[in-house]
Amino acid sequence: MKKLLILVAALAFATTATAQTLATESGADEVIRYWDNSSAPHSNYDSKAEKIVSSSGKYKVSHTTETVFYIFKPQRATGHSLVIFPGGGYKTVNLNFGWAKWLAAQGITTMVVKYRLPNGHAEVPLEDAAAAIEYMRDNANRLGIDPQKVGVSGSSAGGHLAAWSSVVLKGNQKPNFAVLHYPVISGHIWTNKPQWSTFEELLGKWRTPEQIDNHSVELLVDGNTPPTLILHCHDDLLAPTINSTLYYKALKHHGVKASYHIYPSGGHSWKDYKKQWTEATKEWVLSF
Amino acid sequence: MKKLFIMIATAAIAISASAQKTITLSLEQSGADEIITNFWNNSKAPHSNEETRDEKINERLHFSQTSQTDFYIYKADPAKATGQGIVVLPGGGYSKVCIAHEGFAIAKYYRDLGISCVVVKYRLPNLGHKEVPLEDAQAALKYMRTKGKKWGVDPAQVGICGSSAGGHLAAYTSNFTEDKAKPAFSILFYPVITGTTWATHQNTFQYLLGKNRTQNEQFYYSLENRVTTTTPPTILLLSDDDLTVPPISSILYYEALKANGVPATMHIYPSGGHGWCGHDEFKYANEYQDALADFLKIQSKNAAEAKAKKSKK
Repeated sequence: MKKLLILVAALAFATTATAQTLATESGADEVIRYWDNSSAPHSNYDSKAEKIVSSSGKYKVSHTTETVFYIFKPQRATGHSLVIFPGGGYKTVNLNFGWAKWLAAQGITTMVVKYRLPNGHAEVPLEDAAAAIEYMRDNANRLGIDPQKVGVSGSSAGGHLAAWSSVVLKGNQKPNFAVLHYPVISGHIWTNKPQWSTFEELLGKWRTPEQIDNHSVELLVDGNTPPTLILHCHDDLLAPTINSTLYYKALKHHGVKASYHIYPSGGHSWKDYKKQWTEATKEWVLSF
Repeated sequence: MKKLFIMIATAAIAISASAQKTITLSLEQSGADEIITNFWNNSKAPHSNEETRDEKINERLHFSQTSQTDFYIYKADPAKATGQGIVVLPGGGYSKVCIAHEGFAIAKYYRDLGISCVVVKYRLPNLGHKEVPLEDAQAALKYMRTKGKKWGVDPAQVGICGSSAGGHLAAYTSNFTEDKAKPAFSILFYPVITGTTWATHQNTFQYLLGKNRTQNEQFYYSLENRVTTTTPPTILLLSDDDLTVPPISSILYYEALKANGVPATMHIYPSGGHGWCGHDEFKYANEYQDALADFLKIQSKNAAEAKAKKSKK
C-alpha cells in the first residue's frame, strides 16, 4: 500500500511538474488549465502520459489529455485578439510562445492553445477550439478585448483546426477572422505521408470517404465563413500549396473576403520571408 | 481598259494605306529614352489584323484601333544595370492598349531597378486575329535580345510583363513560343487567363478570338491549359476584390504552374480592385514592389548560377 501511494504521488508530481514547467517558461500572463479528458464533453482516450520535448525555446507536446490556454496580454491592447492552434500533424502540439509574444507586442491579445490531440477522435480538438474562442468572448471585459474582434490562427495541422473552427462553429464560438499558415486543408491529397497522416491522426486508420469529406474544410466553406488570410510557400513539401488553393477557391466561390500570399521559398515554415509573413498577419488582424 | 482599272485600284489602296492615321507619342509624354516608330505594321508584319480605321488615343492615353507596332524603349543606367530586360505589355481588354500606367509607369519603375524595358504599343487582334499581338510580343523579345546588348541586357535574361489582357498576352507569349525564344521570366498583373468559368472576361476573348469563336477555341486559349514544364518562372500580382478579372484566373494558372514544377509566387492583396499597376496610390504599392524586386533578384541569381554551370561544362 505504501509503495502504491508513493508511486501515485510520484506520478502526480511528474504531471504537475511538467505542466508547471511549461507554464513558467512560456512567459504567459495567464495560464488556464481549462479541462481534460475527464471533465470535457468528449475524451480522446489517450492513456499515455503527456510528453514534452523542448528545444530552442519551442515545445513539442505529445499525448495531450489536458487543454491549457496560455494568454499573452499586450501593454497597450488594440482590442484585437488571436487564438492560436499550433501545428504538429495532429500528432504533437508544437508550442511557439515567441510568436505569441511578438503579436502581443503589436497590441494583439494572444492565446496559445495546447489542445487535446485527436487520437482518432476528431471531435476533441474541435471542442477545445470552440472552448478557447468562447473563453475569449466570455472574458472579453476582463481581458480588455473586443468580443467581435476575436480571430483564429494556426500553422500546418493547426491551420486545419483554425480553418475548421472558422467554417463549422456558430454563434459565440465563431471566429471573426482567420489567418492560416501553410495549412493542411484536405483529406483528398495523397502527395506525401505527412499530408495524409494528419488525417489518419484525426480520423483513425479506418476513416471512410464520407468522414474524409466531412473534415476536408474546402468542402465546408459557406457564405458565413469569416474573412481569411492564407500564407504559404511555393516549395512546401509537407503541406503542398494545393491545400490552400483549394481553400481560397472555396472562399471565392462563396464570396468570402480573403487575401493569399504564396512566397517563392521557405518550405513548411516562414523562414525565408519572416518580415513579410509577420507584417501581413499583423496588418490583416488589425484591419478588423 | 483593264490596265486603267488596275491603276485606279492600286491608287485607291495606296491612298487608303497612306491615309490611315497612326499615333506615336513623344519622348516627353512617354518618359522613354528612344522610340522605334513603325517597327512594323499590317503591310510588313507576317500577319495583318485587317484594321482599316485610323488609330485613336484618348486623354488617358488609351490607344485603340492599332495597326502599327511601336516600341517605347527605357534604358537602364549602365552603372545600375542588372543585365535583365523586360518586354512590357499594357492591358485594355484586347480592344485598347492602356499604355500610361501599365506601360510607361511600370517601365520607369523597372528602369530605376536597373532593368531596361521595351513597352509595346501592339496591334490589337481586332475581333479574331489572334496571331497578331503574339507576333508583336515575340518581335519585341527578339528586338531586346539583339539590340538590348547595347544597353547592357543579357539576351538570356529577357522577361515579359503584362497587365490584365496584356497579362493574357504575356502568358500567351510565354506558352506559345518555342522554348529557346521563351521569355526568361513572366510578371503578370491581374491577368486574364481563363475563358472557362462564369468569371471569364468574355469581351477579352471576343476581341482575341472573334464573335464566332467556339467553346473549344476559347478553352484552348485559356492559358492554364497550355502550361508545360518549360513555362518560365512566374509572379502573379492581383487583388482579392477584383471584379473585372476575378482571382480564379490567377489561381488556375498558379495551379498549372505548380503541377508542372514551374517556380511561381503569387500575391493576392486584400483590396485594390483592378488596374492598379503603376499607380503609386495603390494601398499595397510598397508590398507589390517589394515582391517584384525580390522575384527579379531571384531570377538574376538563378541566371548567374545557370551561366556558371554552363561555363563549367
